[in-house]
Amino acid sequence: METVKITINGQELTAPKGELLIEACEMNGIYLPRFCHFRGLTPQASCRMCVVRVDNPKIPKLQTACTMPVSDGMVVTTDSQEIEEVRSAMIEFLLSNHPVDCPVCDRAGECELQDQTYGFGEDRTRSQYGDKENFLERQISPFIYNDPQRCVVCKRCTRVCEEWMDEFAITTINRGSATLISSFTGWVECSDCGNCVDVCPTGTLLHVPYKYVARPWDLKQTPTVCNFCSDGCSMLAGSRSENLIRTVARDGRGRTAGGINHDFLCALGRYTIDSVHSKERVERPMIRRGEQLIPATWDEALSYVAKRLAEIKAQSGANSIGVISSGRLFNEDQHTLKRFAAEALETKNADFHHDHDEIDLDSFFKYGVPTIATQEHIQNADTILLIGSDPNEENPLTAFSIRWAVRQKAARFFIVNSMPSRLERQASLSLRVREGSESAVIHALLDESKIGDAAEATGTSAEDLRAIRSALVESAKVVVVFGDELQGAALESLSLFESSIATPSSEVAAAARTAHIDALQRQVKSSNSTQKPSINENPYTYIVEHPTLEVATEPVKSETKFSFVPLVRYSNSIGAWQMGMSSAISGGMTAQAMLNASGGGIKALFVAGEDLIAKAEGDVTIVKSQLDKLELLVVQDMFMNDTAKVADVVLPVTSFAESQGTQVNNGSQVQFVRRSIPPVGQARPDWMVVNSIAKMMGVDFGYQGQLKNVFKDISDHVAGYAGLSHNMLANEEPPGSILQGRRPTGSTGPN
Amino acid sequence: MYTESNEKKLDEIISHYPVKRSAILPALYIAQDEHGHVTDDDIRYLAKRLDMRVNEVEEVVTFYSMYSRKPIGKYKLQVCRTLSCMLQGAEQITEHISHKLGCEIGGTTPDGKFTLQEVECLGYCDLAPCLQVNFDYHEKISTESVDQLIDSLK
Repeated sequence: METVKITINGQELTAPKGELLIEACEMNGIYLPRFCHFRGLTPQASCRMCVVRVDNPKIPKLQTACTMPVSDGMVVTTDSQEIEEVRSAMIEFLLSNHPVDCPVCDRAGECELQDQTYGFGEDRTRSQYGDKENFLERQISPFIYNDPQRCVVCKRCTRVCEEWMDEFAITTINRGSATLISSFTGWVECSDCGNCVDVCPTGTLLHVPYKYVARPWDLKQTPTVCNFCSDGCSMLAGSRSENLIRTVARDGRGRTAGGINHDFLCALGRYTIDSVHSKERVERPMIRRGEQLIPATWDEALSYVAKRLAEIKAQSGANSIGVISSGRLFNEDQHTLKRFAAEALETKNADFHHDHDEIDLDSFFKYGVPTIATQEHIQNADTILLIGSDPNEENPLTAFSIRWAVRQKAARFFIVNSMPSRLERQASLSLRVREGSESAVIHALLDESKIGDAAEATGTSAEDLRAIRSALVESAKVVVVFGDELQGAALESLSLFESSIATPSSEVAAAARTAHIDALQRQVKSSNSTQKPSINENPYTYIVEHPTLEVATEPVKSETKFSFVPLVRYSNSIGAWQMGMSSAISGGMTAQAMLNASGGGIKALFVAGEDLIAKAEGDVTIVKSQLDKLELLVVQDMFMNDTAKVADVVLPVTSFAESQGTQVNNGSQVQFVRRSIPPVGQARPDWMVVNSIAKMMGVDFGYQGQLKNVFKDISDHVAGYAGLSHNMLANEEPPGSILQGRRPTGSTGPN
Repeated sequence: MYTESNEKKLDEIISHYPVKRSAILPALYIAQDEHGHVTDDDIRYLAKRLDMRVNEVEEVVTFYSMYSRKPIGKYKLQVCRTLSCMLQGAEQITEHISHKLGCEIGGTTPDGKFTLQEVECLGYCDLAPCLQVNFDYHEKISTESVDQLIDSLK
């Protein structure tokens, strides 16, 4: 990166070339006050708080640091009598219409206006009470409360709405001192992401669920990771006296959880947390007696489950028991369940329930693991191809990153989809294909001769497909974002993109491969081992295995041209697959096959965190009758859902807020989730429940009741996790970065 | 909502600009001339015609004092209240008009003939104080000349 030398307040400093002065100052530890400037938004320069003096006879006036790029040899003063006076005058102006009602304002305590008035303003004003224009406070959307009088018209909210979300749902109306944050109809209809509220530097916009609920200084703020989609946004969970009060991407003081999402969060992470304290939560273990589920103690419930499972295992054989987990459970839970199935139950039937909406990871990873793109990859891509799914609805952070790439980096963006999406506004070309024909496009992109067939199958023009293909060939960095619409062969052939569409000649690639294999062989040789390494090569990838190599590796791909984002449905679907909770790995039945075989080959099901009835494909009654045929149905879940209602035993487990663990997002980044509140009722973490049952069945996993031992076991046995620990993951900055260089490659699980 | 002749005018205006949305200001005048103010329907329609969002159109309409979102009088009296005019007694003239017409600043007379507004600089500082009646400027006004003017309009 090119840097320039600048002098700030007599201090010689360096800054990246072209960086804004305000950011350059911040990088060097000099904070300039600001309201309208916000990282990631276009400059506004309306609050005039960041004014500085640039020592240059051609620039006679004070300049706003938020619009001035640094140049070599620039001499800047950020602090002087003159500047202090301007700032204090600006604060006085901004407060001229402000009600100064901090004692009843929810923002007080984390209010930028409050902080900056304290830091740069005066304790008196010349404006009279009668001069103030009065605007009534009102609710402007289900989640946003607006008190216009507190507004400093920094327009952060409207810019966030337009630039981050592409919604333009809120805007400023009128002008001058009468400017209000409002909209055409006065009621804001949007996706309720709530980002406008987070970035507001004053108490103008407030979260409705948080209004008059708590003061910021009373909240314990825990950095945690959202688990409502697979993007894995970090957020700050604010809790008070054992209650989860709010989750924000950034609090008013600009503190973030430091995650991959920076200051971004969507409606899912922000406004669905009331499920943690929902009335539907199961708070005590329950055992069915006749028609009713009767509360029991943990000991009763666990020993009952252990006894019944042992009975069924003895009577009908181990493989008559099935274990189904949800893609929402942490790695530790998945790993324990996997071991529970393999060692305590000794059944092959262990699967995480990937229903019809889930990407078939077994197919995707069939020929090794292609580079998985993180949000950073998406934001810096030259070309983005979206096939299937609608990230705007299902993975809002991915949608945000795509918009970012298009807006900030002028990336080319192509959509191949059967459904309309709001992202089409950003697309350079959007193909609406026939439902179920997305796979044909993949084949056409791989093989030019198939373009004609694909055009016919999808109902699009061959020219458009050719345009996409040539864009992929020309670009240096391509990110392919895909949803569950891709299946089977199309999904498997994604890993062929690198070799078929890549620009560098095949000779170069072949030379790199030979060099890498040679290097690995030399490494083995230098360890004086007598055993020869096993080398597996196929056209797509190669694997060199040897005990002395750190991980039995696929190539350490330097910088691949293609990277992929599988928009899996759940927060830890990829983690579940990596832990080996997949029928393809254990060689048993899939979750659906287990259901179909219930009453026949399957006598008992152990369901962790999945509502099979609600997720039923097609007829609900079929699944219900299938569950009825079981001799034993054990459900461990947070909620008394439909499946739990028909269960023989219900075991209450903790939510993401009450337990710790690791999860893997769709960028294949392992993230550590912290506990922010104590368990609700008698709920216990999933892994602990399963561990106890296994113990009662006479199998000890050696965890000694400690979560870190579970992760130790994972890092010992699961490829790619070697050397990782909770401590390391919890302290990395930003979360997930440790795995940037070495991604877990998936595994066959322990043993 | 739009008559055929207005449609033609709109097409003509749009053809002047490389980007459709640039035509928003003249297009709003067409809408305003039709009803005397810009209605909700106008905004929805123009947003559609000019590939804008309703919120963007609303932003423009409410920003400029030449457009009105509410029904206003036949004659819109806009007295400049910025420095030069203010020093030359614009405030007193505004009060005088308000008294004479019997309507508040920002209000409309009951007969729907006059609307009185205070606006920012009209660019006639050298001939202050200045009054704008619809699109006509009246400079160096006094209470007497304003009386005459209003009587002639009545």
